[in-house]
Amino acid sequence: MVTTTQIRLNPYLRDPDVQLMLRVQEGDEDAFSQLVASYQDRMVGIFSHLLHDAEQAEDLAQDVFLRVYRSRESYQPKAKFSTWLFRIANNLASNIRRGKGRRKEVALEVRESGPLGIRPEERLLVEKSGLMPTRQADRNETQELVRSALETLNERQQMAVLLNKFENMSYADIGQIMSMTPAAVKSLLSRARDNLKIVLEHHMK
Amino acid sequence: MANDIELTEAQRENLVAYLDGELDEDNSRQIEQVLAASPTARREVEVLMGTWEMLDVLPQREASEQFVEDTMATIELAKQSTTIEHPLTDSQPKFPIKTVAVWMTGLAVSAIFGFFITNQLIPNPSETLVQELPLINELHLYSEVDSLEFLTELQQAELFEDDNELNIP
Repeated sequence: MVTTTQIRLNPYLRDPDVQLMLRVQEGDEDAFSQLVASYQDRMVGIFSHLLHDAEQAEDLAQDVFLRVYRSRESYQPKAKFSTWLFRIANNLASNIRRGKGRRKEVALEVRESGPLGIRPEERLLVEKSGLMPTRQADRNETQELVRSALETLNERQQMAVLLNKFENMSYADIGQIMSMTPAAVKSLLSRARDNLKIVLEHHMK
Repeated sequence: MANDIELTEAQRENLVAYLDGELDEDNSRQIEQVLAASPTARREVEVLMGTWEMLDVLPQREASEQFVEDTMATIELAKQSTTIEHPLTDSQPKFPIKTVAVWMTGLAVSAIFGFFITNQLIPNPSETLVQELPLINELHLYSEVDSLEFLTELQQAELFEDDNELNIP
């Protein structure tokens, strides 16, 4: 049980996910299962944006959780749990990219639909949402354009943009994840947004 | 007060931080003044916001339904393989000090024992030479004598004054 004095000395102990991780440290596997359930979509989401491969994104997300579990004994709450988790994800993504660079592998493109064309459930979704096929095509085209724009950014810019845009993280949190000062994050994000602007400006509606 | 001019790099960085709500009060006030005075800065804000919003079209992938179960199963598998592959903990050396010490002592005892055995069984040629030294010294005289019987007869004949000179018993 965490006491008020302990919380005063370490404010991260207030984080409920830190509390869950401390329970994992004591051998509580249900607590670990809860953490996986809470963060699975965010982990898969960020790897999908980075790698454009849904299957590989799941594998990497699983790898992150495996690393978390393996380091449970040495775990010390020195940050919010989410910051610690995304830091592991960032390191893993960097390793994967370095490995890919060495092997000169080509990333697989994510198929929006199956090999036989648009899936029935997707067709139903399109119809339900009232999107006409041309509008859907426009949307796919825009998605491809934005994805390409994101790919023009370097690895660090991409990660900072994803954390800021989709995880709503502060410069301080991004800095902790990427081992940078908040001032450096500010500069990094400014350059990233300038680069995005160059590619996307003429496609703004 | 900024007129309709290009923004400096510092101002551009502050502009993005301002849009992200990350700028302190003083810098925010300065940026607001720039925006009020500069149509270029206002256009810049519009484009930055517009291009940032375009990222919303990217599909948000979610984990598959069985992700949690799969992950827990992977962890269970990893735990089992770790137990099989590494039955010893990392802190245990492959050759414990006690075993090494026993082996070293055994080797030393064997070496000493071997030295004494070979020293006793194999004769030393130098020792034989030392024992035979008196004979060797008089060898030139003994070589003149054909046999021991002849020498005994010669002694009995008392032809020499000092019979003991040749150390014959």
